[in-house]
Amino acid sequence: MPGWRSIDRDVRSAETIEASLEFCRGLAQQGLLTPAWPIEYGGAAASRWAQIVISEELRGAGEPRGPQYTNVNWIGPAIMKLGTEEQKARFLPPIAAGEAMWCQGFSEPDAGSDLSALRTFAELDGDDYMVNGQKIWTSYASAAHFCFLLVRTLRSENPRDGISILLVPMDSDGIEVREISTLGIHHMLHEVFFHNVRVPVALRLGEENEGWKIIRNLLANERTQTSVHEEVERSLDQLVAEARDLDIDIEDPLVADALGRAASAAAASRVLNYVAVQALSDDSDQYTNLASIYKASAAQMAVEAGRAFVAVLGAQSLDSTSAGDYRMISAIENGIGGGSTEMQLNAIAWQVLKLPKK
Amino acid sequence: MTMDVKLSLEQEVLLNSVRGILERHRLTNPFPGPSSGDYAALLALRENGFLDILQSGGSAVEVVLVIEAAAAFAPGAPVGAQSLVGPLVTLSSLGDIVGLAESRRGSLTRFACDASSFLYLDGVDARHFERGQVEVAPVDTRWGFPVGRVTPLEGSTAQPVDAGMLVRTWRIALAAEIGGLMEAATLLASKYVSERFQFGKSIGSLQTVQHRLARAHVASQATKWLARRAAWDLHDDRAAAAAACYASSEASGVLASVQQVCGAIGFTDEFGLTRFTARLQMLQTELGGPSTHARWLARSRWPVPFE
Repeated sequence: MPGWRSIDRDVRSAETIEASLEFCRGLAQQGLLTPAWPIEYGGAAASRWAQIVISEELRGAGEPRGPQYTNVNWIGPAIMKLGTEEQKARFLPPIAAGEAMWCQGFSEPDAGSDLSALRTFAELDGDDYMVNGQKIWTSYASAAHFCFLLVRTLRSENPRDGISILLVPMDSDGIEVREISTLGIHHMLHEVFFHNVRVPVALRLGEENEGWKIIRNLLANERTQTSVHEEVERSLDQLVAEARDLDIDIEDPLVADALGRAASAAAASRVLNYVAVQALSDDSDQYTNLASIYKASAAQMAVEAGRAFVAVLGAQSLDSTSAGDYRMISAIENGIGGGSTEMQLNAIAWQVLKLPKK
Repeated sequence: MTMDVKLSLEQEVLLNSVRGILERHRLTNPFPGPSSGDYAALLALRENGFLDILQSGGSAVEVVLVIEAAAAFAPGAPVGAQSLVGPLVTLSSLGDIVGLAESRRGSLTRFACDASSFLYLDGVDARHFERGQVEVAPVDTRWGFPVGRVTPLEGSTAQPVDAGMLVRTWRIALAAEIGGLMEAATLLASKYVSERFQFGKSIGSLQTVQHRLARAHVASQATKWLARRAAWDLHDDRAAAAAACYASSEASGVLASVQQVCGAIGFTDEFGLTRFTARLQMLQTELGGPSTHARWLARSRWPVPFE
């Protein structure tokens, strides 16, 4: 892939978007994109573990996957579970073929961690919903073909009532995408504005006003199947290689201490990931709690890895050619994206330790 | 070889059996003070067959589950050395209480004064000493265990044992014990903050308290699973070092959090939290502490390339 570095994750231009799609098409052709999907939807009915092993190898190698974990890990399975036959026929084959990029329209300016406060409204108008509102922090929106959009379809005293899910083509009239410039990954985060966007009722996923229950489980799926631990562990290998290139003695006690602690944090996060994936495979009612425990550990792992880069390489870790450059961003990003660490800790406190809410 | 990352029904039964036996034991046997080992609890476990699981054909993972459970309900009992380290390091009879000792300057050996034999780590070598072959100097400490310094007597001839296996199994047992202590301390603190009212509300409803305990819970679960993972493959140096490194690194944070949220009552003998935290303080220093484990892990993972 031209210009791709193994530490990149964004899709920065029309050229890299196409190259990322080409990569995923290739995975699909070799049966490596959706191995755990049912055969009827383009998978191989392999175990979830097979998909995890493939994901570890590819993510660890710095694959240009772009947003296609989102499609494979939870949007596709959600459509399989809740979609109409027409929705399955339209949306699943392109995902299984690596042809479709999706974004998720969740957060809003006043609905971040408190997702149930979302205000983007979809008003029924004949056979369509008329959608108006704004989403923010939407990854890959400029490249996406479809948006898994959360909207309010009923104004209710309980904010968790009245939420619905729409599967929205991103080329619909009235959608405006603006890029948000960030410290981290350029061209990846966006605001998405909906101005009188018509979405057929036939593109609603699941029952009207019942979206919250659906999304609560889906969010946990988002947290456990991307093998970040493998990416972090291999970045530590890159760190050691960079240190050796700079004649830094990795036997030095302080250097070895930093490396070992980061490696142990990655090992901890890996085993907690496996525990959560096992629960997911078993359809255990403990899965969402275990996903929160894993997610909290992954954020800690990312911070420890960042510390190791600074401890070993010093200022060199901030050179954009160093694997440390992206590690520093990851150390910040991991505690925020996919549900903040604080939300995970809330869930653990309430659901596992049974601490009182009031 | 595959490992399930969940407990089997038999393993759940095992854990519950150990807890049940030790809970019943506690009804008639109060916790001993910090300067005494809980040998009565050890005897209760032995009489019910929980110290010879390996000899009976059970797995090291099952032994680790016993160590976890015992740490919570009988934190002063030397279960790890007796049930995991000893049987895996030597076929020799080690007697009722085994001491795990090392030559590292300043190191303390738990249960040293009461041990009938010792597994002694000396750099890359290890030996099995009988009680009469070493000098034991008791050391006064408040940190949960009776301890002493162990020095082999001049001219003692001792049986060599597998130093690699000693280090690995010691680390696994250590991590399992720390994981059990972390979990017990977190649960006790969680119960307390839920019942403690200040300013008209439960302090357990305060997010700063909740988050400290939630992080402690994450640390306890990661520690327990790392120990179980390492026990699944007793020849995996890195897994054992990672378990001990993570466990001993996180022990101080868990200790600080549970003591902090419980306030002054947390210091008292009556409340019982120090039963766990004092021992966490001691255990995090064993085998050289977090930095020693970390450096070992780093050297194992990134060996100096052959040139």
